[in-house]
Amino acid sequence: MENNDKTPCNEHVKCMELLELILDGEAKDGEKDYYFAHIEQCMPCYRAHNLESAIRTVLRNNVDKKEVPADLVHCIKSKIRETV
Amino acid sequence: MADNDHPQRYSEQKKVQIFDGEFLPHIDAMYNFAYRLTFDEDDAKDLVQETYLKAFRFINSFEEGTNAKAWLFRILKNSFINDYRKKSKEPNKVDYNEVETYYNSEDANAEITPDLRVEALQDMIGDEVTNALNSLAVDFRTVIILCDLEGFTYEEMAKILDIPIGTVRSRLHRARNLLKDKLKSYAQSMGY
Ligand SMILES: [Zn+2]
Repeated sequence: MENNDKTPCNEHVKCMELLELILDGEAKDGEKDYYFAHIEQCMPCYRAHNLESAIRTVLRNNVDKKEVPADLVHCIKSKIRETV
Repeated sequence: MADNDHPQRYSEQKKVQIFDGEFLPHIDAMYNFAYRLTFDEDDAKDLVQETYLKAFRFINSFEEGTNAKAWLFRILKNSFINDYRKKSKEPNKVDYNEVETYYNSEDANAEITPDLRVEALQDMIGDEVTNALNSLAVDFRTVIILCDLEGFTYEEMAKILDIPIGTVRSRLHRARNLLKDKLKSYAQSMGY
Protein backbone atom coordinates (compact mmCIF):
# COMPACT_ATOMS: atom_id res chain seq x y z
CA MET A 1 0.00 0.00 0.00
CA GLU A 2 1.42 3.34 -0.99
CA ASN A 3 -1.01 5.26 1.13
CA ASN A 4 -1.21 4.14 4.74
CA ASP A 5 -3.86 5.19 7.24
CA LYS A 6 -2.11 8.37 8.23
CA THR A 7 -2.02 9.90 4.80
CA PRO A 8 -5.35 11.39 3.84
CA CYS A 9 -6.46 10.57 0.32
CA ASN A 10 -6.65 13.65 -1.85
CA GLU A 11 -9.26 12.03 -4.05
CA HIS A 12 -11.38 10.78 -1.19
CA VAL A 13 -14.48 12.79 -2.09
CA LYS A 14 -14.51 11.39 -5.60
CA CYS A 15 -13.77 7.89 -4.30
CA MET A 16 -16.61 7.94 -1.79
CA GLU A 17 -19.02 8.94 -4.49
CA LEU A 18 -17.73 6.12 -6.70
CA LEU A 19 -17.94 3.72 -3.77
CA GLU A 20 -21.67 4.26 -3.48
CA LEU A 21 -22.17 3.85 -7.22
CA ILE A 22 -20.12 0.67 -7.26
CA LEU A 23 -21.82 -1.00 -4.32
CA ASP A 24 -25.21 -0.02 -5.74
CA GLY A 25 -24.31 -1.57 -9.07
CA GLU A 26 -24.58 1.78 -10.86
CA ALA A 27 -20.95 2.48 -11.81
CA LYS A 28 -19.72 2.48 -15.39
CA ASP A 29 -16.82 0.25 -16.48
CA GLY A 30 -14.32 3.12 -16.59
CA GLU A 31 -15.33 4.22 -13.10
CA LYS A 32 -14.90 0.68 -11.80
CA ASP A 33 -11.44 0.34 -13.34
CA TYR A 34 -10.31 3.62 -11.83
CA TYR A 35 -11.81 2.84 -8.46
CA PHE A 36 -10.50 -0.68 -8.00
CA ALA A 37 -7.01 0.33 -9.11
CA HIS A 38 -7.19 3.21 -6.63
CA ILE A 39 -8.28 1.28 -3.56
CA GLU A 40 -5.45 -1.18 -4.04
CA GLN A 41 -3.10 1.71 -3.46
CA CYS A 42 -5.02 3.74 -0.92
CA MET A 43 -5.65 2.49 2.60
CA PRO A 44 -8.30 5.03 3.70
CA CYS A 45 -10.42 4.28 0.64
CA TYR A 46 -9.82 0.56 0.97
CA ARG A 47 -11.04 0.65 4.57
CA ALA A 48 -14.06 2.72 3.67
CA HIS A 49 -14.87 0.21 0.96
CA ASN A 50 -14.73 -2.70 3.39
CA LEU A 51 -16.90 -0.95 5.93
CA GLU A 52 -19.56 0.10 3.43
CA SER A 53 -19.76 -3.36 1.91
CA ALA A 54 -20.00 -4.89 5.38
CA ILE A 55 -22.93 -2.59 6.20
CA ARG A 56 -24.75 -3.71 3.07
CA THR A 57 -24.07 -7.37 3.79
CA VAL A 58 -25.34 -7.02 7.33
CA LEU A 59 -28.49 -5.29 6.07
CA ARG A 60 -29.18 -7.95 3.48
CA ASN A 61 -28.57 -10.85 5.84
CA ASN A 62 -29.57 -9.66 9.28
CA VAL A 63 -32.65 -7.51 8.96
CA ASP A 64 -35.61 -9.53 10.23
CA LYS A 65 -37.93 -10.92 7.64
CA LYS A 66 -41.63 -11.37 8.31
CA GLU A 67 -43.53 -14.41 7.26
CA VAL A 68 -46.46 -13.58 4.96
CA PRO A 69 -49.73 -14.41 6.77
CA ALA A 70 -50.91 -17.78 5.52
CA ASP A 71 -54.36 -16.57 4.46
CA LEU A 72 -53.28 -13.38 2.69
CA VAL A 73 -53.10 -14.71 -0.86
CA HIS A 74 -56.40 -16.51 -0.37
CA CYS A 75 -58.05 -13.31 0.94
CA ILE A 76 -56.82 -11.30 -2.02
CA LYS A 77 -57.85 -13.87 -4.57
CA SER A 78 -61.35 -14.27 -3.19
CA LYS A 79 -61.85 -10.47 -3.12
CA ILE A 80 -60.78 -10.37 -6.74
CA ARG A 81 -63.12 -13.19 -7.68
CA GLU A 82 -65.96 -11.09 -6.27
CA THR A 83 -65.08 -8.21 -8.60
CA VAL A 84 -64.66 -10.26 -11.79
CA MET B 1 -43.83 1.19 -14.78
CA ALA B 2 -47.43 2.25 -15.19
CA ASP B 3 -47.69 3.00 -18.83
CA ASN B 4 -50.91 4.92 -18.98
CA ASP B 5 -50.24 6.27 -22.42
CA HIS B 6 -50.80 2.90 -23.99
CA PRO B 7 -53.36 1.03 -21.95
CA GLN B 8 -53.81 -2.63 -22.74
CA ARG B 9 -57.03 -4.50 -23.06
CA TYR B 10 -56.67 -7.83 -21.40
CA SER B 11 -59.38 -10.47 -21.33
CA GLU B 12 -60.64 -11.46 -17.88
CA GLN B 13 -58.75 -14.71 -18.21
CA LYS B 14 -55.57 -12.92 -19.21
CA LYS B 15 -55.90 -10.55 -16.26
CA VAL B 16 -56.01 -13.45 -13.85
CA GLN B 17 -53.04 -15.04 -15.59
CA ILE B 18 -50.94 -11.87 -15.26
CA PHE B 19 -52.06 -11.37 -11.70
CA ASP B 20 -51.13 -14.90 -10.66
CA GLY B 21 -48.01 -15.15 -12.77
CA GLU B 22 -46.48 -11.69 -12.42
CA PHE B 23 -47.98 -9.99 -9.37
CA LEU B 24 -48.49 -12.64 -6.71
CA PRO B 25 -44.89 -13.93 -6.77
CA HIS B 26 -43.87 -10.60 -5.18
CA ILE B 27 -46.14 -10.97 -2.17
CA ASP B 28 -43.29 -11.75 0.18
CA ALA B 29 -41.34 -8.59 -0.70
CA MET B 30 -44.55 -6.56 -0.69
CA TYR B 31 -45.59 -7.74 2.75
CA ASN B 32 -42.17 -7.06 4.20
CA PHE B 33 -42.09 -3.60 2.65
CA ALA B 34 -45.54 -2.88 4.07
CA TYR B 35 -44.53 -4.14 7.49
CA ARG B 36 -41.35 -2.05 7.51
CA LEU B 37 -43.41 1.01 6.69
CA THR B 38 -46.23 0.45 9.18
CA PHE B 39 -44.64 -1.69 11.93
CA ASP B 40 -47.99 -3.39 12.35
CA GLU B 41 -48.98 -6.81 11.05
CA ASP B 42 -52.63 -5.98 10.48
CA ASP B 43 -51.86 -2.68 8.77
CA ALA B 44 -49.27 -4.40 6.61
CA LYS B 45 -51.78 -7.04 5.61
CA ASP B 46 -54.42 -4.43 4.76
CA LEU B 47 -51.93 -2.36 2.83
CA VAL B 48 -50.80 -5.33 0.75
CA GLN B 49 -54.35 -6.43 0.11
CA GLU B 50 -55.36 -2.94 -0.96
CA THR B 51 -52.33 -2.71 -3.23
CA TYR B 52 -53.16 -5.98 -4.96
CA LEU B 53 -56.78 -5.02 -5.43
CA LYS B 54 -55.71 -1.72 -6.97
CA ALA B 55 -53.20 -3.53 -9.15
CA PHE B 56 -55.94 -5.75 -10.46
CA ARG B 57 -58.30 -2.83 -11.04
CA PHE B 58 -55.65 -0.95 -13.02
CA ILE B 59 -54.11 -3.98 -14.66
CA ASN B 60 -54.74 -2.54 -18.13
CA SER B 61 -52.14 0.10 -17.45
CA PHE B 62 -49.56 -2.59 -16.71
CA GLU B 63 -47.68 -3.85 -19.72
CA GLU B 64 -47.16 -7.60 -19.54
CA GLY B 65 -43.54 -8.65 -19.05
CA THR B 66 -42.38 -5.27 -17.73
CA ASN B 67 -41.19 -4.64 -14.19
CA ALA B 68 -44.13 -5.84 -12.12
CA LYS B 69 -42.28 -5.58 -8.83
CA ALA B 70 -41.46 -1.89 -9.28
CA TRP B 71 -45.01 -1.23 -10.46
CA LEU B 72 -46.48 -2.91 -7.38
CA PHE B 73 -44.07 -1.19 -5.01
CA ARG B 74 -45.10 2.16 -6.45
CA ILE B 75 -48.77 1.44 -5.84
CA LEU B 76 -48.02 0.28 -2.31
CA LYS B 77 -45.94 3.36 -1.54
CA ASN B 78 -48.73 5.64 -2.83
CA SER B 79 -51.38 3.81 -0.80
CA PHE B 80 -49.20 4.11 2.25
CA ILE B 81 -48.78 7.86 1.80
CA ASN B 82 -52.46 8.42 1.12
CA ASP B 83 -54.02 6.18 3.72
CA TYR B 84 -51.59 5.28 6.45
CA ARG B 85 -49.12 8.03 6.82
CA LYS B 86 -51.87 10.52 7.55
CA LYS B 87 -53.05 8.65 10.60
CA SER B 88 -49.61 7.68 11.86
CA LYS B 89 -47.85 9.70 14.48
CA GLU B 90 -44.73 9.93 12.43
CA PRO B 91 -43.82 13.46 11.36
CA ASN B 92 -44.89 13.91 7.79
CA LYS B 93 -41.78 15.34 6.28
CA VAL B 94 -38.18 15.16 7.20
CA ASP B 95 -36.35 18.40 7.03
CA TYR B 96 -33.97 17.78 4.19
CA ASN B 97 -31.83 19.94 2.08
CA GLU B 98 -31.58 17.44 -0.65
CA VAL B 99 -30.42 19.49 -3.56
CA GLU B 100 -27.21 20.69 -2.01
CA THR B 101 -23.98 18.88 -2.79
CA TYR B 102 -23.65 16.28 -0.16
CA TYR B 103 -20.04 15.30 -0.55
CA ASN B 104 -18.62 18.34 1.16
CA SER B 105 -15.14 18.32 2.58
CA GLU B 106 -16.27 18.01 6.17
CA ASP B 107 -18.12 14.85 5.28
CA ALA B 108 -15.10 13.47 3.51
CA ASN B 109 -12.77 14.07 6.43
CA ALA B 110 -15.15 12.34 8.78
CA GLU B 111 -15.06 9.30 6.55
CA ILE B 112 -11.28 9.05 6.48
CA THR B 113 -11.21 7.62 9.98
CA PRO B 114 -14.42 5.66 10.35
CA ASP B 115 -14.71 4.56 13.94
CA LEU B 116 -17.30 1.94 13.15
CA ARG B 117 -15.37 -1.26 12.61
CA VAL B 118 -16.17 -4.13 10.34
CA GLU B 119 -15.71 -6.61 13.21
CA ALA B 120 -18.28 -4.75 15.29
CA LEU B 121 -20.76 -4.99 12.46
CA GLN B 122 -20.16 -8.67 12.01
CA ASP B 123 -20.96 -9.29 15.66
CA MET B 124 -24.30 -7.54 15.44
CA ILE B 125 -27.36 -9.69 15.49
CA GLY B 126 -30.52 -9.11 13.51
CA ASP B 127 -32.24 -7.10 16.23
CA GLU B 128 -29.64 -4.37 16.34
CA VAL B 129 -29.55 -3.92 12.60
CA THR B 130 -33.33 -4.06 12.34
CA ASN B 131 -33.71 -1.53 15.16
CA ALA B 132 -31.19 0.80 13.56
CA LEU B 133 -33.06 0.66 10.27
CA ASN B 134 -36.45 1.06 11.92
CA SER B 135 -35.33 4.10 13.87
CA LEU B 136 -34.80 6.09 10.67
CA ALA B 137 -37.52 8.46 9.48
CA VAL B 138 -39.77 6.76 6.97
CA ASP B 139 -38.35 8.47 3.87
CA PHE B 140 -34.82 7.48 4.77
CA ARG B 141 -35.88 3.98 5.78
CA THR B 142 -37.67 3.56 2.48
CA VAL B 143 -34.66 4.25 0.26
CA ILE B 144 -32.52 1.80 2.18
CA ILE B 145 -35.20 -0.88 1.95
CA LEU B 146 -35.63 -0.33 -1.77
CA CYS B 147 -31.92 -0.23 -2.57
CA ASP B 148 -30.19 -2.51 -0.11
CA LEU B 149 -32.90 -5.01 0.76
CA GLU B 150 -34.84 -5.18 -2.49
CA GLY B 151 -32.07 -4.37 -4.95
CA PHE B 152 -33.92 -1.78 -7.03
CA THR B 153 -31.82 0.41 -9.33
CA TYR B 154 -31.70 4.20 -8.92
CA GLU B 155 -33.93 4.52 -11.94
CA GLU B 156 -36.53 2.14 -10.55
CA MET B 157 -36.41 3.90 -7.20
CA ALA B 158 -36.94 7.26 -8.87
CA LYS B 159 -40.09 5.89 -10.49
CA ILE B 160 -41.37 4.19 -7.36
CA LEU B 161 -40.88 7.33 -5.29
CA ASP B 162 -41.67 9.93 -7.96
CA ILE B 163 -38.45 11.82 -7.35
CA PRO B 164 -35.46 12.58 -9.62
CA ILE B 165 -32.48 10.21 -9.61
CA GLY B 166 -30.30 12.92 -8.06
CA THR B 167 -32.68 13.09 -5.13
CA VAL B 168 -32.64 9.30 -4.81
CA ARG B 169 -28.87 9.41 -4.53
CA SER B 170 -28.68 12.24 -2.03
CA ARG B 171 -31.44 10.75 0.09
CA LEU B 172 -29.70 7.37 0.07
CA HIS B 173 -26.43 8.97 1.02
CA ARG B 174 -28.00 10.75 3.96
CA ALA B 175 -29.95 7.67 5.00
CA ARG B 176 -26.78 5.60 5.04
CA ASN B 177 -24.93 8.14 7.12
CA LEU B 178 -27.77 8.20 9.63
CA LEU B 179 -27.82 4.42 9.71
CA LYS B 180 -24.07 4.32 10.20
CA ASP B 181 -24.41 6.65 13.19
CA LYS B 182 -26.98 4.33 14.74
CA LEU B 183 -24.82 1.29 14.13
CA LYS B 184 -21.87 3.16 15.58
CA SER B 185 -23.70 3.79 18.83
CA TYR B 186 -24.75 0.13 19.00
CA ALA B 187 -21.13 -0.84 18.45
CA GLN B 188 -20.06 1.49 21.25
CA SER B 189 -22.62 0.02 23.60
CA MET B 190 -21.26 -3.41 22.72
CA GLY B 191 -17.85 -2.24 23.87
CA TYR B 192 -16.14 -1.64 20.56
ZN1 LIG C 1 -8.12 7.12 -1.77
